[in-house]
Amino acid sequence: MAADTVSLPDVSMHRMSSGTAWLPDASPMRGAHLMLGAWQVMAHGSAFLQDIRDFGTRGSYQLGSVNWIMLVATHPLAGGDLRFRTMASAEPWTVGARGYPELLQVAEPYQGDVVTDRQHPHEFLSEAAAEFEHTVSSRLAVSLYTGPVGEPALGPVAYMHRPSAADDPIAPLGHHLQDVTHTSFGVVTVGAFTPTLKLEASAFNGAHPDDDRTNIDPVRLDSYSGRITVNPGSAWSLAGWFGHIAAQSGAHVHDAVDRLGISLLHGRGAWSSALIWGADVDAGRLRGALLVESEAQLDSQDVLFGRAEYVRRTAQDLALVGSVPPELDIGALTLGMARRVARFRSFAARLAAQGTVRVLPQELALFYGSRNPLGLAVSLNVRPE
Amino acid sequence: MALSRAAIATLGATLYAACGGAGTGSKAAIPPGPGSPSEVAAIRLFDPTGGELTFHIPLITGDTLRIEVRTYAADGHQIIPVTGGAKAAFTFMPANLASSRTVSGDSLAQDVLATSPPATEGTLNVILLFLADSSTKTFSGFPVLVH
Repeated sequence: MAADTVSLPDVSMHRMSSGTAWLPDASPMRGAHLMLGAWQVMAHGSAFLQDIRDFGTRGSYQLGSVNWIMLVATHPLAGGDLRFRTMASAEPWTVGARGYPELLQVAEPYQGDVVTDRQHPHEFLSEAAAEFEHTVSSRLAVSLYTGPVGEPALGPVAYMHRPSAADDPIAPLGHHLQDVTHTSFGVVTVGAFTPTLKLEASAFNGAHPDDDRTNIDPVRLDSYSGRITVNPGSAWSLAGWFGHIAAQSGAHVHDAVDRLGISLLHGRGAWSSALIWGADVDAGRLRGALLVESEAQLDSQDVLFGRAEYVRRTAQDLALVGSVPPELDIGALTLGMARRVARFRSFAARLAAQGTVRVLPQELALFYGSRNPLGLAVSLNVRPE
Repeated sequence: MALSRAAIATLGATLYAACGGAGTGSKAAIPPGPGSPSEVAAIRLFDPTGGELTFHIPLITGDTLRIEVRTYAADGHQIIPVTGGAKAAFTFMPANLASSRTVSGDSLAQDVLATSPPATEGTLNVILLFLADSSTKTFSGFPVLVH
C-alpha cells in the first residue's frame, strides 16, 4: 500500500474524514503522520479558545474551548488494512455540560431540565472504532467498520472535519438534521468501494448521547442507514443518505424518524466549500435544513469563511411548544476572517473574528428580542497546518 | 490591502470591545421570580414528580395524570408567582380525547383522564385566566398520546 492511499491505489488518504465518510481528494489534509514499525499513524485535531457572545432577550456569552483530537493507526493485515480510530474532546469541561451559547440551536434535556439556545459539547470519547478494508481486485475493496462509539453511514462529513468549516468553532444550526449521529453508541457499517464510488450500510444506536458527556452510553443497534458516495474527480465528493432512527424514550425525541439528505463537497487547494441538505421525515412531514459554507485562504496568512443556513425548526426544538406555531423557518448568515498569527513546527495559530445574523419569523421576535438577533465570536485556533 | 485588513481588524476589535469584550463565563441564568400577566410568554407542563410533559403527554387509559402549569417569561426564566394569581383551564383536540378537572388548592394544576382508546393522538390547549385583570392567554398544541 502506498503511504498516501487507502486499500486501493487510487483512493487517497486525503478522503479520510469522520467515520467512513469521504472528502474530495484535493481537500487539504491537516495532520501529522508517522510510522511506528508497520503502523502508519495519523494525528489530527483542532483546539479553539473562543469567546461567544449572543445578543437579544435570550442572549448569553461564554469564554470556552471547542476542541477535539483524532488518532488513526493503520496496519496491513490479511491482504487488507486494519485501522483503529479514536476521537476525543475535552469539551465537557471546557464548554461545560450545558454547552456553549448558540441562539436557536435545538433544545436538549439536561439533568431533568431543558437547555435552550446552546450547542451541546462533544462527548469526551466520540469515536473508538476499528475498520478493516480488504482489496478484492485492483478496482474494488470491501470494508467493515465497528465500535462501541462511532459514526454510521448517515449524513455528510461531520462539520468539524469539513475544511470548509475549519476556522468556525460553532456548530451549524442544521446539525441535528444533518450530522448529529456522528457520535453513536454502537455502530456496524459494511461497505464496498471503487476509486470513485462507495456504497455503505449501517446498523447503529439512534439514541442521542445522554447528558453525561464523559461516559460510554449503553451500546445497542436499533437503527439503520445507507449511504452512497461518489468522488467523480479530485475536487468533488457527492453523497446521499437515508436512515431510519428508532423511537427513543424521553422528552427530546419521542417518535421514530426517517432521515435523508445529500451533500456536495468541493475542495481545491486553498478553497473548500460544502452544500448540504438534510431532513427528517416525522409522521409523514418533511422538515429540512440547507447549508452552504465556504472557506478560502486569501494568502499565506488570511482566511475568509462563511456559512449560510435555512432551517425549519419545530416549537419543540425551541422548547416553545404552545407559544409559537408548530413549525418555523429560520435563517442564519455567518461571515468571519482568520489570520495566522504564529507558527511552530507543523502547527499554526490563527486569530479569528466572526459575526452572525439570524432571520426569524415575527412569532419568535418576542422571545429573541428582535427578528435579527446578532452574535459575535472571537477565537484563537491551534491545529496542524 | 494590508492596510485595509489592519483597519478592518482594528474596527472589529473596537466593536467587540464596545460589546463588552471577552467574558469570563456564561451569563448566569435568571432565577425564578414574580412577574405580571403581561410578562407571561410561555408555559411548560410537569407531572407532580417534576417530570416534563411539555413535549409529550402520555395518558394511560383509566389512569388520572395530574398536570401542573408553570409560567415563563420571554427570556426563559420562570415567573412565580404571577401577580394577582392565575387559573388554568384545559381543552383537548379532539374534544373527546380526555377530560380534566381542577385540583383543589392548586389553580394551575388539572387532573386529566383519558376518554379515548389507546393509540389516540391529539393536543392539549391551556387557557390561563389572570385574576388581576381578568385577561386570558391561550397556549395551544401540547401533544397527547393515549397509551
